[in-house]
Amino acid sequence: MRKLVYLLIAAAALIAACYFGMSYFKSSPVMPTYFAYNSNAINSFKSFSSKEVIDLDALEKWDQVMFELVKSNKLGDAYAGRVYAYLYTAQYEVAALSFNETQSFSGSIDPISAQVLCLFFTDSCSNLVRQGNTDVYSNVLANIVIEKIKQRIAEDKKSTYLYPVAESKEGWVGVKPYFGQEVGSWRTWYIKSSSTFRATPPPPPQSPEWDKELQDVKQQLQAITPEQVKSVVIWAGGGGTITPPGQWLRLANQYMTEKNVPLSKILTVRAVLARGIEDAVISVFDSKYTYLCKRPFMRDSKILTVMPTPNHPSYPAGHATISWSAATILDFYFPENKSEWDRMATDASHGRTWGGIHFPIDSEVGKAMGIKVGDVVISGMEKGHS
Amino acid sequence: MNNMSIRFKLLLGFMIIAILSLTFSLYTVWEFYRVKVDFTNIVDKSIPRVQALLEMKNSSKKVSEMFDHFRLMNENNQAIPLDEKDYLLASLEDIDRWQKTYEAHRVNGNTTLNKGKLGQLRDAVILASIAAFSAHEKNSGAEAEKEAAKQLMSAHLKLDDYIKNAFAEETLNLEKANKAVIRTANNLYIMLIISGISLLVLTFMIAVYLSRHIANPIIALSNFSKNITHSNLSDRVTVNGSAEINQLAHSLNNMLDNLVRTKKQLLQASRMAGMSEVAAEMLHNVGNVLNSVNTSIFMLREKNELSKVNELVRLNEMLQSHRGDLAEYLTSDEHGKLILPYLVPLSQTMRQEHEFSKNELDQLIVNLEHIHTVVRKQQSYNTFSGVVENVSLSTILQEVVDMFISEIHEKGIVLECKWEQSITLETIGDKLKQAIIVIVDNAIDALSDIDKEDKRIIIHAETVDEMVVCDISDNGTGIAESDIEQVFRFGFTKKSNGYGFSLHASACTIHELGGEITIASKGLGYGATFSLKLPVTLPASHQKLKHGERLEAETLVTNNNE
Repeated sequence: MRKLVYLLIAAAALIAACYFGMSYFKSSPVMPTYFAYNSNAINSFKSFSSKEVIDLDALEKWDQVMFELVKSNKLGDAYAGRVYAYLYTAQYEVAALSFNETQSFSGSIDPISAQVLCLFFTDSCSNLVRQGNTDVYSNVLANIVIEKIKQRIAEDKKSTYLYPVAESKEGWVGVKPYFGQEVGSWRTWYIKSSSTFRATPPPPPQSPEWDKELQDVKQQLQAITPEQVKSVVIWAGGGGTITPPGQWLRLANQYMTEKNVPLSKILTVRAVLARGIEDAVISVFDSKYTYLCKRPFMRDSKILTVMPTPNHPSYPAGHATISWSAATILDFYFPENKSEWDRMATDASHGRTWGGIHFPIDSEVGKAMGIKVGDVVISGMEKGHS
Repeated sequence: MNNMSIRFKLLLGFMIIAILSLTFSLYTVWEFYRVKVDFTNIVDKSIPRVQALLEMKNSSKKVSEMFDHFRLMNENNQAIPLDEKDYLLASLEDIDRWQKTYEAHRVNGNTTLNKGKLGQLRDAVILASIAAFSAHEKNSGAEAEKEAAKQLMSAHLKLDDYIKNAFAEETLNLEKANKAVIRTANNLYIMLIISGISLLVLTFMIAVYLSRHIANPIIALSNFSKNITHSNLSDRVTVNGSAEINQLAHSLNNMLDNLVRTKKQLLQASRMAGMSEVAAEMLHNVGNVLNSVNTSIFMLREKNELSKVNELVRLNEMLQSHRGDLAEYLTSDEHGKLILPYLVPLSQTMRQEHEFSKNELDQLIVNLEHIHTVVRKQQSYNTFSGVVENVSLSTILQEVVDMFISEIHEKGIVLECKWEQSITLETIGDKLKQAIIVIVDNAIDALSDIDKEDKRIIIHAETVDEMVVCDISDNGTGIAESDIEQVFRFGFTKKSNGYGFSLHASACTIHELGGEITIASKGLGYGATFSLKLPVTLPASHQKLKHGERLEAETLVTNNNE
């Protein structure tokens, strides 16, 4: 009997030794970071540890804070998308650095989230830093990442410029200050530059094609169904909403929560999607302010749109570009839900024509641009980059 | 139950505790799980639903107020700013989003409200809002705008009504859930207390049981074994414990029985050994004397055989045959003339024979008297028991010397007696005397077999610091250094005719009398000195002797080892 017990203990010890031995030699999974960090930075938080854990609740909490700030500050899609891209990237970086070092999501994203949002919403900063738990480990991590974020913003600021807007009877005439006049010059996250993804030139302003487009808009506006009205309202995404980039991020988050997607993938998808969408936004604003095409109501002042027409050029449609880049990225990560992603992207794109603020050609070109940007992001992912 | 093995008792005790703990733990975990589920239900489902309803209600109210505001602006001929419509749309989008949130957290069976109804009401509000705004934008006329506003108000009221009902239900659900959580938490609380107390009581009971049935018998056995002494072997342990303890008690009793038997045998053996020692001593002493007796008898017989008595008979016959002419025969006969001159040497020879026989017979009497004395003395040594009294050491020493004096002289030994006449001590005189006899005898033996001119025994005694010190030294064969420590060991002897009893017995005796005995020798050929140290007054530890009791073997052995 005693021999049997010894035998069992020995067997258990052997199995445990094998298990730990294998796990020791097995290469640990690595989450690739967007920014490059030197070893000094990595070593600076190694000596600390944290009892906090990065989890879905923390992400949801900061999503709410972020969306509320965007809504209350009435940010437009371009600016909201920028906040999303920076915050989600920073959160991902903190989580990835912690994971690569400890093989767990230890630490808190509260300090980094508060610091990133502080950069964009200075008025709310004192309130932001009060939200959440932190410790030395998380603070050191946040400091490492926020340096990279600040550096990028500073570099971006240097190269930012306002696109020239030549006011002419044939072209778009907005109300000053124009919305997103500088967005096209922003630094992109994945694509090389916004100009390389610029849309094909639109038909000349006097081209009869525009008359045909205008007729289409009028017809669609005339024949709008209650369902289409609803869709237009839902995807309106004007000031006071979380805007289309936020809507796509929320849809992706809801889907991943429902499907119990692992946290590492959630963090990755959020960051990639936010950056991809922002690249689409930058590209579309480059094209908008390059071609300066009129809005439908500028060709026929009698048109009464369902939603107010945004204060930036028409060609190509921002909603379509944003939505199709988002749908393309989400199709890659969650192909099982492709039809739904595509349906939502179609709804978001078409809504702009149904509502009378875009020509059909705007949405078509926007869709093509969005897919192109999405494909570049995906190809980066396929190559193994974050 | 009482006879159950300790192993099973312990196993059973701990198993009972473990099973009960496990049962309580499982129940606690189950209750805790229920509290958690109820609580999570409130936090994850009810609260988001309530929040969604509230937000919908607020947004709907906001939309409604917005239109009131528009109407006011309209009446004042103010243009509605562009971004007002954005806010309207944002509010409508909020209504949509919160409706979806509510649906996402809806739990089937938790509400009697129609599932699709809220969506329809939401759509009605959205569409009525858009219609109202567009009526205004299109300048459709006051009537149309009024109608649209009416539609919007109606949609808003319907939504509000639904939300009120939903709220009522939610409040009820929350109340139920709240009560359930409190009830379960209370159950858990009570259960934890009950289980804690029950386990405590049970553990205590089991501990008491185990201590009574395992610890107590072991303690009893331990106490009993502490009381086992040389003199107390008669008690037997009676323990009512587990099988192992009963077995242990039984074994202990058996062991005691064996010990008593062995003690008896040992006593018998030592008595036999004592007896044989006495016999050997006696034979040794008597044997020496018997040699002398034998010699005397042999010489007497030889003398007798060579006696001139026959010559006297023959003279008598010759005289009888010449009874008639005796004078003539004596004076003139050739043979007769020789008779008278022959009588002179014959009578002298006969006289010498007589003298010799007398002397030999005297010696024989002395020797026989010696044998008698030895036997008598031995009889006196054999009396083990004795009374404690104040005895004079000088008297004892003198008696011993008297006993051995002839042998000492015979062997040419010089005896020096150096003791104070006044030395007295409280002891058993006979026992002390017996011990000293053995030592003196040993000293004589040490000088017997050596060829030495100055054979000497010195007996010296004095009182030093309430202790009587008596040294008996000889310059005999001495003792090898390696043997010194073994001299008093039972059975140790260097004599060819020795048994190794007497010195051991003497040492025991001296220890029994509260004293100590040591031996010193510079080695073989340098003689030896036995030193006795005895207390003038019997020490407290040996007071038993006064009551005629013997000391326990343990005390003797311990002292002996010292």
